[in-house]
Amino acid sequence: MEEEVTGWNDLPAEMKFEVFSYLQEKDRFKFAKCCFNCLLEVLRYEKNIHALAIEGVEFPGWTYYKLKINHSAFKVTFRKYEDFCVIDYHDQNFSKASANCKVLAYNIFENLLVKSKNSLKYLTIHRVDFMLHDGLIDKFGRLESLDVITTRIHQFYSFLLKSESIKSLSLCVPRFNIKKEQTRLPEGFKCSKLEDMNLIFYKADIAWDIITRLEAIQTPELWKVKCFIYDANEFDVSQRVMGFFENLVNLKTNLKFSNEQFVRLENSENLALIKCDASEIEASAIVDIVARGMNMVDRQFTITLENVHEDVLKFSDRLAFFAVNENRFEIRKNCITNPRHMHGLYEKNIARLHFSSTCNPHYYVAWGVA
Amino acid sequence: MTDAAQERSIKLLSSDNETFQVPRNVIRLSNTINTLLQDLGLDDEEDAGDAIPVQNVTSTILKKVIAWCQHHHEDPVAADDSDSREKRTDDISSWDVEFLKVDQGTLFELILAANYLDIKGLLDVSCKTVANMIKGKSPEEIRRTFNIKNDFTPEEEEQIRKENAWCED
Repeated sequence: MEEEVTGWNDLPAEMKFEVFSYLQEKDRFKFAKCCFNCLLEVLRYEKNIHALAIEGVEFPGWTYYKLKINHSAFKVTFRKYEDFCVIDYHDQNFSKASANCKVLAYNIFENLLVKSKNSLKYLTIHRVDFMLHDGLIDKFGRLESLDVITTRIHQFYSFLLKSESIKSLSLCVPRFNIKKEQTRLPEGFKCSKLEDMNLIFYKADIAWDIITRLEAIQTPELWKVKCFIYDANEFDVSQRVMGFFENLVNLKTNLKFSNEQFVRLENSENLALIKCDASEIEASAIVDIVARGMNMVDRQFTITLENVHEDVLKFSDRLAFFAVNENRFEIRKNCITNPRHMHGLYEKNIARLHFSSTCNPHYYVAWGVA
Repeated sequence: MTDAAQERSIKLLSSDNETFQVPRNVIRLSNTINTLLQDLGLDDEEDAGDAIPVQNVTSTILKKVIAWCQHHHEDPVAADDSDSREKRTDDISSWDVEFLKVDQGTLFELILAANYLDIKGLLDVSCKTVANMIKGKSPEEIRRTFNIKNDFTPEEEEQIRKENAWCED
């Protein structure tokens, strides 16, 4: 039998890092191009990563993760989902997931987070529960205790507390197996350089619980928040979320609420941005909601309607035409600016209207109803 | 360490059960052995007793490690440069260059042994040698050198090439 010869892959990570330490950046990244593991090794060594994103790609019954990393000099998008983490959220069939992959993914992510503590500027966590993968399942394939899950999330938040460089934070808190106690931001949460936050919540009560913690934020640079709440059934909560952000001075806020039941939007007249499935919306209802939006003082708002009926689209076209002619509306780029563009939107069954509050809502509504 | 201790010998036992008698002042370059002897209270003993097992190192490699220590045991202690990011690789002595003209398997095993025995000088010089095998090479040449299998798809390779043109040749 042929004797196995010790090779590069037999070296432990520290030894490889020792070799990397003698290479210039250019040579390190040439090495990174050799194979996927070489790439991971180099990235684990690097300390200048300034953007990090975990994005989940969901398929029926499965969630694949891809890790995006922007080094100050080297951009990498991992596309080998199978090399990272595969986990089944729906039927808890964890046997298909490779434990090694999960540990690897988590370890790399944690390693990069810690190493990049002072250089990381853009952080995207598609699903907070990514942080759980290392401790989510015990050896019998059962879910770990909620304590473990909570601890993991708190570890992540602790990192946020310590970070002094993050300018942009995107956070998605999923619905599955997460309770608001587990997603609670720690007391004293502050990212002094935070400029914008992109928050996606599946449940309004969790959103509110996290957002109330933001009251402790001391973030003079924060100027933009996007908040998307899928489950906007709890409009009382949604309104409170909205009100909270409105009270922050100099904050350019986009709040999105999604709801299958359009009627719920009756209560959402204070929303800066409304996105909904409009397949059941009548043209007159659009007039109604636009009128409600118009009542907002000194505010701009956007309505995005998806899956709209053909007659609604025609109606939207007329609205846009009216808006341009009246010169009282601001038509945002990529929205309805001319018939040709409208045609493009028509094909996609999406209408986007962007209005400023300087128009005369009464005149507008009167026209729409007529 | 007393003078007597400096002059005495230590026995090392390789993973394949070969015993090596090494002067104490030669093997002092190994922090692992130093710590072991100190912890066991044997550092000042005339007779250190049984051979110290070096479980992860074969006799072939241990022999080379001892030879390296023999040559370097009177070297001045090098300054700790662990914080400097870009370290030189062109300062390997001619003796070390000749010493490390070995097959790749032996070179990597020397690195592992130097790491296990915590012999900083040997670890540094062998890592520098590996780094020199990477420097200036294209990814394809590096793959050939280290027998690395390219598992990127053509699409991934193209993406990496496009996004990182700065480090293309």
